Amino acid sequence: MLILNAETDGIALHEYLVRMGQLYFNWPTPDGYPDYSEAWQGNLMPRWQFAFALIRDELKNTKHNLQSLLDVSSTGILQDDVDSITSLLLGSPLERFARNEIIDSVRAAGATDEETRQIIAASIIASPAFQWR
Amino acid sequence: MLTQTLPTWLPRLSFAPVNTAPRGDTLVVAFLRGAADVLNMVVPHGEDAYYQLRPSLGIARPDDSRKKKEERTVDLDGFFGLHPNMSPLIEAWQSEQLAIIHACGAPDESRSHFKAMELMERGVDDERGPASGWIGRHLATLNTGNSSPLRAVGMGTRPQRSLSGSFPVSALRSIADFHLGGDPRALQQMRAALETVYAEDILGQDTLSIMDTLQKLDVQNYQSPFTNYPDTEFGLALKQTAMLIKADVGLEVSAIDLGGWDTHFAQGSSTGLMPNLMKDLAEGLAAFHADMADHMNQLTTVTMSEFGRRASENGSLGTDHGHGSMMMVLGGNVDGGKVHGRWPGLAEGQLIGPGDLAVTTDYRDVLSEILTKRLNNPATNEIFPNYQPTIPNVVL
Repeated sequence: MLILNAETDGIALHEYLVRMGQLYFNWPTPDGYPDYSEAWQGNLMPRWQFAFALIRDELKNTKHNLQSLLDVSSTGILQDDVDSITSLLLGSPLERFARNEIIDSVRAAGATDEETRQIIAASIIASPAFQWR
Repeated sequence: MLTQTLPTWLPRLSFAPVNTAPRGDTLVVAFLRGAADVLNMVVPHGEDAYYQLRPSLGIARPDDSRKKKEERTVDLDGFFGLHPNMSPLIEAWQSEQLAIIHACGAPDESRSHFKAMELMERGVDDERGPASGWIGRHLATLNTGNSSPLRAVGMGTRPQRSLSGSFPVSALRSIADFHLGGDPRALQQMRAALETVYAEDILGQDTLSIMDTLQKLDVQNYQSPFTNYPDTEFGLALKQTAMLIKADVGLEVSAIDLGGWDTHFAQGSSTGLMPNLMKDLAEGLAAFHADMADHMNQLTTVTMSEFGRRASENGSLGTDHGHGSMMMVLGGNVDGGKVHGRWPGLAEGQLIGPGDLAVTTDYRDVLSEILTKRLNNPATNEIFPNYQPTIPNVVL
């Protein structure tokens, strides 16, 4: 939410955190939520749903600011914008092959350039790499 | 140094050894929230004290010709009988796939819903025990080689307390929840992206595969060739559990709630508030039993409630918080057609506290036996810490 400069009243977030099984301060022991992937990868669906709904601005009283963040550096070329999105979300761009593969897969599903930017942002938020951040 | 200051259960919780075993039965746990009045569900009609304690709410004896048949207890064994609204369960009883454990419950005598539910779902004696739930610890201590995201499901908006722990579980209000939503075009695009992002990830691929499987299930129009589920939340939860089992998506545990049992006022004897709840419960379980007939050998369903209610009715034609409760176990490998447990009686001197049914079987005895015999998990000392179960021989 911070990375996307999003605004929220937190209510929709709370619901998703419950469904993800990682509500604030709710881990039963003092060592905090586990940081190994097996601890959360068994419950991926609410994470995917959250990412999809967030990017599509479908969470109640929640709005991200991805477009404004992209506008700063956008060249209007899809590949460059995808690099900007992955740099923003993951800290560095994807390797060219991986970037093109994900662009191709989304375009093959009939997405326009604008939809491709949006879907790739959602899928990166839903990705294992982002879940570590 | 730090470990010396930690509670004694912490190392076991953190480093519990994982047992490896093949998947056993699918376990369905129905929790009757609000402390069900079990004396009016499984009626001790052979006990005179029952009728003395409940002159208005008592359910008539099976042979009481002064009452209409639909108001009389349905006899089970000459001493106990089912409330007439529980009669849909007679078929399961007669086929010896339904066992009842009466005077069953927890040692806690707080008679507080909050505390009793909390302790029972955690499977502990007091607040000092592990904060995770007993089902959560079962999942964490048994490796069945099942990586399904639907290994354990809590039917509802959030997973039940009993499911909490280090193993991730899913909350499902509906099978439709296991879906990304959105318009079909965007959904197809997102699915394509996830397929790429999770190309090397088995759990991600499993999740996508199950999403596709569940997308084909039509909850609204699901028709069992054998039965109709009641059109209630409980009925829907059981129906969806049946659909998940039949879809073979790796379901091992389904936790379902049925609330509304806190019947202090006007609970009703043969009709009214509580009889309606019993109808929902019995019709739901009977429908599930009929629908899952071909799966009964790999299925165990258990009902439980946080405590029972006072043996005597109160001045508001209801019953107050009590102690001893009752469990039902339904399945193909149940020693059914029997009321298990020692009946402590309802006469003066046999009741405990302010006038409550005593507990003669600890609920953990029943669950421990199911866990070890039917779910292949021997780690009951981890699941119910500091408790040594006595096996009640309810399941085979």
